[in-house]
Amino acid sequence: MSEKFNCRIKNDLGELAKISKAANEFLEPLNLDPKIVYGVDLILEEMLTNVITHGYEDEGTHEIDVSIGLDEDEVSIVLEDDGAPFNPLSLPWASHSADADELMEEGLGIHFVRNMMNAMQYRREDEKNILEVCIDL
Amino acid sequence: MDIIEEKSNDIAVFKLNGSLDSNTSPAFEEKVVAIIEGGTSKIIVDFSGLDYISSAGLRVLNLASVKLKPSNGNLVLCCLQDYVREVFEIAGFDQFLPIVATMEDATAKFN
Repeated sequence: MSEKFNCRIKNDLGELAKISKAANEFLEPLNLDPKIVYGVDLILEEMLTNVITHGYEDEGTHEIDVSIGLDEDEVSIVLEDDGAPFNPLSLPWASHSADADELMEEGLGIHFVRNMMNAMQYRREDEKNILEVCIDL
Repeated sequence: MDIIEEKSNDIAVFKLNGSLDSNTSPAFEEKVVAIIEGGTSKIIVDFSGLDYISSAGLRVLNLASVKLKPSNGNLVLCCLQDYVREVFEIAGFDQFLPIVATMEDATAKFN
């Protein structure tokens, strides 16, 4: 079993609905655990919101490549953007005792992603941020 | 997403259907802030039809909770699906927002 989905979106928050719909059309026939599908949706929304909101210093249009791959034991999500260098793995982990207020400040989105994924890798290549997030099946 | 707003006695009830994400949260924020600023201090959010929430949705609930503090108001959530509830737990929101199983339990919180 190996399936792949690719989509290119613009750096506009309005594009999130489009990618969510397209990703779900890809995932639905695969009969995955609904919890995995929820995780993919959440990772896409939180990480893309971050890139679109904080990644660009100019007002111009940029493209972000999104791919989702499925094999026997994991789903992998890869995001490629030409925004400012940003490694989400460099953010501090929220402590176990962190309350909701602290999490809001430290970044609730990345906190969710860290709780939903099993592995995350970042690299900067050809002036692009490439983030891969994997969820075990 | 659909937002159905009802008022029973002095309790405002919001029933959310679909996804509370970065696209749909602003519309919910507008409604909930308007009702709090209009003087309502008792709010129930019925999540039975909600199948997805992201940090954008949680931010609106946090904002509502903060805005209710001066009037000693309360925000009660009911009928969460398992995955949605898990997101509240990951965020620690279950520590400060009352989350109950049914609409009856939610109404009882205000009696």
